[in-house]
Amino acid sequence: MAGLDYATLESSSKWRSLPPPPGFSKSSSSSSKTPAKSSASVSASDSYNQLKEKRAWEHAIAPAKALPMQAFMLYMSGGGVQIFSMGIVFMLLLTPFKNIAGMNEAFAQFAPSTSQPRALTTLALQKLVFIVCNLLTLGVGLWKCRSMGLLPMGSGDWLAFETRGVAPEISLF
Amino acid sequence: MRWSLNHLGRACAALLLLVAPPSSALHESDVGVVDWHKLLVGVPLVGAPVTAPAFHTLDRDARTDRTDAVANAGSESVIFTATGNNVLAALNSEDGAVVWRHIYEADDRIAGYYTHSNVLATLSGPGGANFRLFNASNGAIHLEKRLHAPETGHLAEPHHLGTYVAFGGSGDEEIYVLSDGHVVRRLDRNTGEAQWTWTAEDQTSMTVHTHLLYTPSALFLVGLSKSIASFTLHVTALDPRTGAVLRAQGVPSSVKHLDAYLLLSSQNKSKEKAPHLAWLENGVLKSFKLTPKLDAKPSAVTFKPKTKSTLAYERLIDVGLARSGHALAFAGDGSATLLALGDGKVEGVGAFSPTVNPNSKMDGEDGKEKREDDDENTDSIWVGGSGRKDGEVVLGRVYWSHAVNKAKMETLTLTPTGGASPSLQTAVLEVDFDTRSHGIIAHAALSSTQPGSSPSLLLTTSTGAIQLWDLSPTAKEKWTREEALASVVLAEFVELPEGRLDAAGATGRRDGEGFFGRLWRHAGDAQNFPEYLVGFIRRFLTGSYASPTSAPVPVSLSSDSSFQGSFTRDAFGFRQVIVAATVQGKVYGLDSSSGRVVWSRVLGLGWAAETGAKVLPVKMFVLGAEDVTGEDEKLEGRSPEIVLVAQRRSENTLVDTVIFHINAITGADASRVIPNDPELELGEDVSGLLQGIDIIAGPAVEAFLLSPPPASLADSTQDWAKAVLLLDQYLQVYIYPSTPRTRATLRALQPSLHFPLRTNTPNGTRVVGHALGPHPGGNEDDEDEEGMPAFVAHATWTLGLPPDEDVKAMLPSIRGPVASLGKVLGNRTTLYKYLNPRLFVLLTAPRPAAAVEGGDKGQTCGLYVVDAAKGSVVYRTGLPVVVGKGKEAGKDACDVKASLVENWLVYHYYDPEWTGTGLTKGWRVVSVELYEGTGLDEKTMSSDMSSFSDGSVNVVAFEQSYVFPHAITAMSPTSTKFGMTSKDLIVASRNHQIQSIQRRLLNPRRPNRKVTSEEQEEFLVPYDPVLGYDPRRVLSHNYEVANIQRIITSPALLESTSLVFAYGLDMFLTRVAPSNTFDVLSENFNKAQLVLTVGALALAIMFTKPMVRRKKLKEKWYQ
Repeated sequence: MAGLDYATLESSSKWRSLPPPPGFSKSSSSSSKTPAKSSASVSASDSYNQLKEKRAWEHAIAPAKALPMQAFMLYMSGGGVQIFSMGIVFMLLLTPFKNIAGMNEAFAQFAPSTSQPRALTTLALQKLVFIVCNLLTLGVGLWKCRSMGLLPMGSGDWLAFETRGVAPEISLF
Repeated sequence: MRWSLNHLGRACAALLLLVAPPSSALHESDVGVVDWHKLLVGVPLVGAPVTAPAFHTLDRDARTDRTDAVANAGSESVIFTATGNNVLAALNSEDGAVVWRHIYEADDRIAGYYTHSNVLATLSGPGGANFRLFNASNGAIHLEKRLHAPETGHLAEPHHLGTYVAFGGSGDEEIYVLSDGHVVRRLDRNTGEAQWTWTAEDQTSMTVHTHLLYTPSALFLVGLSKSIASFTLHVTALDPRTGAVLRAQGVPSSVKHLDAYLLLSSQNKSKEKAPHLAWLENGVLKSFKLTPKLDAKPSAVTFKPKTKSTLAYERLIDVGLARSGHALAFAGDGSATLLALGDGKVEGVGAFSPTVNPNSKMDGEDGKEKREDDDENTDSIWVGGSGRKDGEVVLGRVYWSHAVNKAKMETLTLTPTGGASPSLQTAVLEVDFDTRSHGIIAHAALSSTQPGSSPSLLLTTSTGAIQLWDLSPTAKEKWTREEALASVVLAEFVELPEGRLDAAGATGRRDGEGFFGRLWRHAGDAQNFPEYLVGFIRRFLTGSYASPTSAPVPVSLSSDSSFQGSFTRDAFGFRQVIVAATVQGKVYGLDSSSGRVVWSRVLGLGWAAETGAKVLPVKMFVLGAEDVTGEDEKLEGRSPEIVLVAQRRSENTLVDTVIFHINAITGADASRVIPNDPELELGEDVSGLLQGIDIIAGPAVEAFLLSPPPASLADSTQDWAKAVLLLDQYLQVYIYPSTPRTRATLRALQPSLHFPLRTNTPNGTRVVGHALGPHPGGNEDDEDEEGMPAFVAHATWTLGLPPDEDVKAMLPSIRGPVASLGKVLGNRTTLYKYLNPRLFVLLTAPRPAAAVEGGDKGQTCGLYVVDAAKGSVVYRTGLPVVVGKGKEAGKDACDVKASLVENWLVYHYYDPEWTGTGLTKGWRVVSVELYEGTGLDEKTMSSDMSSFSDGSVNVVAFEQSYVFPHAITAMSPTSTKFGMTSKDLIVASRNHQIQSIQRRLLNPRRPNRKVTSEEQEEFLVPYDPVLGYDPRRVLSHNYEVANIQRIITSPALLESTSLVFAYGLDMFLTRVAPSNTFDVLSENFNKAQLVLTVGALALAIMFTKPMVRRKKLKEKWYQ
């Protein structure tokens, strides 16, 4: 009985209120089973929501799972400023932003049926974790940038923007 | 100059940079293209016949085995001279090229040179301490011998007094040398061993011997003995073989001075004539026959054509003919008598009146036809030479004729006719001598007339030029050497202005010009367009752009009218004018791309022209083109100008300060445009005497350039102008040019101006800082007044030096654009440069008296880096004193060279200490870098901080010392337009080379171990104490660039490239690119390939475009 019950999928179908085609009539058995069915459909949608939530969690921590792999790639790509290392670093720097920007869209499929699928508040916890994980990725990318010397961290990086005025005393000699 | 990596190695350039210094060196193909070299010898010493220029005919027998340049040139005659730069030189008489030269050390002054067939002997040093024997044709040294220690030599005045060399025997195998006035040696020709030595008993206390004369039977030694009123001649006859005295006796005589006696001898083999000693005694000519026994009696000189009057003679002059028995005696009125060695007596054979009548035959009788106007001609300079025939004598007199304003050369050929008076031929030639650019003739020499060659006249001028004139049939200038360039004291680069368009601009509309007029003008302007178009296409296709290593475009200077137009700067600014001022009172403008003299001016003496004076350049400043007055728009396109501050020392001991204001491009006098009179246009006066402006009646203490602060930082409403500030003895301030604008600039900047002055105090020479204050007697609003100085300097600080130290030199820091405020390390932290713009280097030396007393204990040569506004010492060090021996002690005990640019100080000294462990004596180069605060990332804003603030000397110094293989005579860092390119150090070493030392080798932070990866990022290399000799560092190729006094550098328009000019005895200019020519395409860049590829692609697009369009159309049918 726990098999596939496609009818439940149609519970929210807009076609439901339509009259049956000619020659088809609602079977009485179906009407007699309605209360049982409805309870079953409630439990099914619950489990389905749980499933979706589970999937949403998985999606949220997916960037964190990829980190070891990315770290390995970074390690393999070396410290020099070359096309491969630069590509990986760019990927690391860009994907977090891309992911966060498309976060609501990505999480819409996991949204529980009761809530607005694209709202920011839906699956808020998962989204928060997702953002944190992406920031982790970004952090790894920045760390790589720093180790390659691409981050303006030292005073030397800002030296060119320093200016000096005229000395108050002038030596003629 | 192209310093580049091998193009194959370009790919691994980064790797190379990390592993080893880049293999940069001068490419041989660039030699002579990017650099030039002037081999100079210096201004001849014309004061004495033993140093003055003279012709010498090389011995024919000796010529056969010669393979040098002289033989190849087919020249037989060379000109020898000793010069003021202490150089002995041999010049080719055909083209004036230097055949060979020998440079003497500064303390080894040449006393004289003596030629004999194919060898040349010199004596040099005090009392003729050093004897050298050269091969006259190629300058190879046969022999070098120290006759006595230089400290024990007598210092004589004139320097050649008491020294003489005589050659004897057949050929040159016997050399007799008189040195120190009392020692005669016979030297072995091959070993230099003294075969015998004879020393006068009285050791020059009574008699100074001056001349030697060799005869096979006796060696005559002539000297002067002191007697009561004058000198007595003293003759000693020595045996040439043993040195035994045959006889010594005083000749009863009385001579007044050194020009009053000489020895006459005859080299003529056929008729042996006994040599004579001729002298002047109270205006009377006398002679003494020299025999080994010295038993002759002094006799008066007889005159062959019986002269009517007894002239009172004053001088007896050897015109180069004493060895052939002739000399000239001069009377007080300038008339001359030719003396000839006759049979057993000296005779007067011809007399010449002091003034010359060109139309009259010169003879004894002509004396009565004396011109009434003596001022018409200057005094004659007499020259002599042997004639074509045996016994023939050619005399010449060179004088300046005021009547025709030309120099004239009168040749007198005396041919002995046997018995009677010699026949005399005269000829007068006009010598087209340019007195406006060469001054006056100081010395002349006549070549001996050889069969098949015309006689020539060698002139040495007061401005240091050596000229050779061909005398037959007319006087023609053959060559000129500007030897004054060997005594340049000041030189500056002046950037050329851009090639100017028409004054109104090419497109500007002119007032009152109709349509057709404009059309016509534009058509005229367009006439060069086809040429330009062709040039553009050719350039585009072939890619033959100007490159940093391409040869300079020759400038046509055929006509003076197109002069200024054609002399414009080139694409990269390599063509600049080097203005060089010389001791001889001549200023030159040199083209930096070729070394050619563009213009030259003789500095005028002003009122002192009558009394005679010497103009010594003191300082030279470059004023920009537009900022002199700034109030006349017409002056905007003016050329850059030079202001030369000079000291005029007149003969009557008055010293004046004179300013010469010169247009740097044309050499024209630029001072006349200052009084804002547009009518006085830039003069055509671009040659001749340049008259200066007497600005201070008295010596100037110091002269400074008042340059306004950079325009971007200054108050934009204020109009600034550069000016020269001069301080007289009373520290009153004079300003030149004195225009309202410059005075306003001075008024505006006056409160912030500071400068140090060197002053003499009872405690020794000290440095005293000064500032400007209002003059008590002047009014500050000096809008209109000219005479009264508005400001006077007052002392603000004194530097407390140790009591036994004296100021030796003050060197200003080299100012230029600073590209970076700090040094970024490998870990991205910054060391902020200490960029105090007021720093100067002070070099001190122990006081000579103290040095002797103190026995050099604890004495040091001080080096201080001092702030000029407050006198605070930023960096100081003590360097070892070089202990000399005897007289040399303390003379040059502190030979320290230093150079300060930005925060980088380099100095060079000799370290005699070697006793300690790990020490070695030798020359050191120390590199010091000054940084703000106490270390990393600490900034005190030193470049705009006041000297009076707390942190002004909050400095950390990194320093490292290196051993350098040679002594350095001059050093200077390179300079570039924006200061971004690293600064290499250009040094002139005593081995006559110019080298460039890479900045990274002189980085004082070079680690004393293996470099870490962070240090590798800084391109640091491990410390190596020895800056070894690396031929790749030599910029001067294989030229000999000797005795360089100073090196100046100038930025080109290319940021990567710097021009380097070294001067001293020689001149050398080259281009360097310390960080490689990063701002131009490399020579190997394949422009043709690029053009072909682009062209092929365009062609392909042209063909495929219709094909693609057709295909697209077809596709639409099947959709």
